Amino acid sequence: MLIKLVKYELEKKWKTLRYALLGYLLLQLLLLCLTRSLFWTGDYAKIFTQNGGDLEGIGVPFVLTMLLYFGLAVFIGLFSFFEAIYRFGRDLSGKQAVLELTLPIISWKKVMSKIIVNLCSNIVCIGLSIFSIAMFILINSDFEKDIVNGILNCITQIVQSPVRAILATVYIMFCFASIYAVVFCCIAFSKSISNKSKISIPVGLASLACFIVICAYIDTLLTERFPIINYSLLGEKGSLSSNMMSIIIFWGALFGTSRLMENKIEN
Amino acid sequence: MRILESGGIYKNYFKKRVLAGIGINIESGKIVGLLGPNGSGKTTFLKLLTGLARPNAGSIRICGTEVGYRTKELVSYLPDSDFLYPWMKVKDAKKVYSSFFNDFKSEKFDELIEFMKLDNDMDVKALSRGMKEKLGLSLTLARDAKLTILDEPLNGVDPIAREQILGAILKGFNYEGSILITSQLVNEVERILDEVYLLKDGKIELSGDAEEIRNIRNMTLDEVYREVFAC
Amino acid sequence: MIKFDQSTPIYIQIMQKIKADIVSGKLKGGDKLPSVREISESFKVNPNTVQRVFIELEREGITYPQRGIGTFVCEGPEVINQLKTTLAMGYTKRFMDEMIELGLSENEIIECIKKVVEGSKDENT
Repeated sequence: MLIKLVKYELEKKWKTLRYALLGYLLLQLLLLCLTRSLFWTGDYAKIFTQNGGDLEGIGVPFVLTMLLYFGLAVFIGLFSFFEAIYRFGRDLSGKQAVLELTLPIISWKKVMSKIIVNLCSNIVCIGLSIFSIAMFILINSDFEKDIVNGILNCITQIVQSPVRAILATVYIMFCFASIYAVVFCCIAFSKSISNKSKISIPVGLASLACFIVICAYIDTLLTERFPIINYSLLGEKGSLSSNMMSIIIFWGALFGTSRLMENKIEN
Repeated sequence: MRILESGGIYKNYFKKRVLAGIGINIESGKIVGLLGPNGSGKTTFLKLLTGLARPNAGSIRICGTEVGYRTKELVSYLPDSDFLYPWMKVKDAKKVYSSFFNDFKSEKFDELIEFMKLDNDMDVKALSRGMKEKLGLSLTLARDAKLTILDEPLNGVDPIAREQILGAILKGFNYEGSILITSQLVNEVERILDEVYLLKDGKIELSGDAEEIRNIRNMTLDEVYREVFAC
Repeated sequence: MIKFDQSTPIYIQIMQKIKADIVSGKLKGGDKLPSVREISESFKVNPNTVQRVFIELEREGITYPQRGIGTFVCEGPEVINQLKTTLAMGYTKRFMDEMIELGLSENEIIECIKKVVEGSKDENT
């Protein structure tokens, strides 16, 4: 069931995002061509290699286009996150909520599949973001050796210590998943109080704020007073109790959302 | 075992009392009508049956099980409004239903789609209101669910399409289950009803066998309705 | 969609229609009646109502069921003739009731009938 759900959510996500992604790619391509062909002069390569290099003579059009380009790149990275949150809100109280809520599957699987698919779309969008910025720098510096070497260095570093890379990835994925779980829980909570945006959005934000504060407090408390085990892994410090708390938060939020969806959400 | 057993249902939305102690029982193999004007609480009651809302008091059992995620497999619901994603095509909707609902019968769906003159490649957003209704109906009826709930299936649809829809409902009727229909078009829908419940201000004003009520009062249900709801 | 007369129960009206088809020869002795589902779909009426039609027709000896196959019209001219007579008498009585309510005497009624019969003969030639 979970796999079917994931496939279904992926399809939904793709159909929603495809035009945004396409538009983004075309726009960035256009801007890239503009900067490279129209606004570019040979000096620009130096901007990226020298720290605070000679900035005189940089055309305003170039700077503006560059800012726009980078802005869009950042935007597409953040967009997937906000789209995910907005989409979950609509899934619970929009017109299509009927289909969502009457599927005969236990709710935690529904939430889990959404988290998985959102993580995928985040990876794609953030990857796209990084790729765009890298392309801009590479193309506009005319593939300057220093920059290319710098990028290759980063990549080799990652490839050379795969364990570290994998652990870091897993940790980041888990953090994102937890964030989604907590945010979804707050959304579900706010929708269970009222379906109207006027009421549910402030309630959702307030509950999220409360939650963050409480968690931060407990986390510092645990790290200082009850760390159980303090360890050092691959140069990073951590405490077992802190990790346990993260896991509890994730599963707690997941099941909390599930319970709210089963028992309290009204359409 | 009764398909639907419910009693003592109360439902408030904030301070407003929408349902005040109603109960409907449905045996298998019946087509039951829940009739009443806008705002009488019909849609609210349907939402209680599907688990989209919860009663403040009272119990609802579908085939003996309290309403919850397990009864969602037993209930097939056609809502009054658009419920499909606009990017879907007919075949996408079919895929969703067939992957998540075990009782969905693809051949029955294809038959109904053909009967309604719809095509697998049509875009949902390009469909007229009547065609959307027919698609929703095909999806809902192709599931051999124990309790099929149709909320105002004839609304906003021209007379020819209404006749087709009535035909499709009878064609798709699963004799081992039951259908609960709400409608305002009493004169068109009464001929397919076994039993009828009239809901006024959150209470059941009148209920019983459709033919019996017609005979005893010597009126059509449409006339009975007008009498009951005349203010 | 066939409109039903609101003064009589639906099942009786469906029975009348089937009986009329038998008498007129549209349905012959030994013919299989459409299934409950088919009749319910074509008349757009509740299947249980149609079921009642079948039960009543069997009770009146007009049809008989064959398990697993369907319901059949009784063979034999007596059944059909009996039906013809009953239906014809029923229609005639209704006609007479309405004519009497208009205030016509027996002779006037017979005159009317003769005129209509002559008229339809002329149409046919």
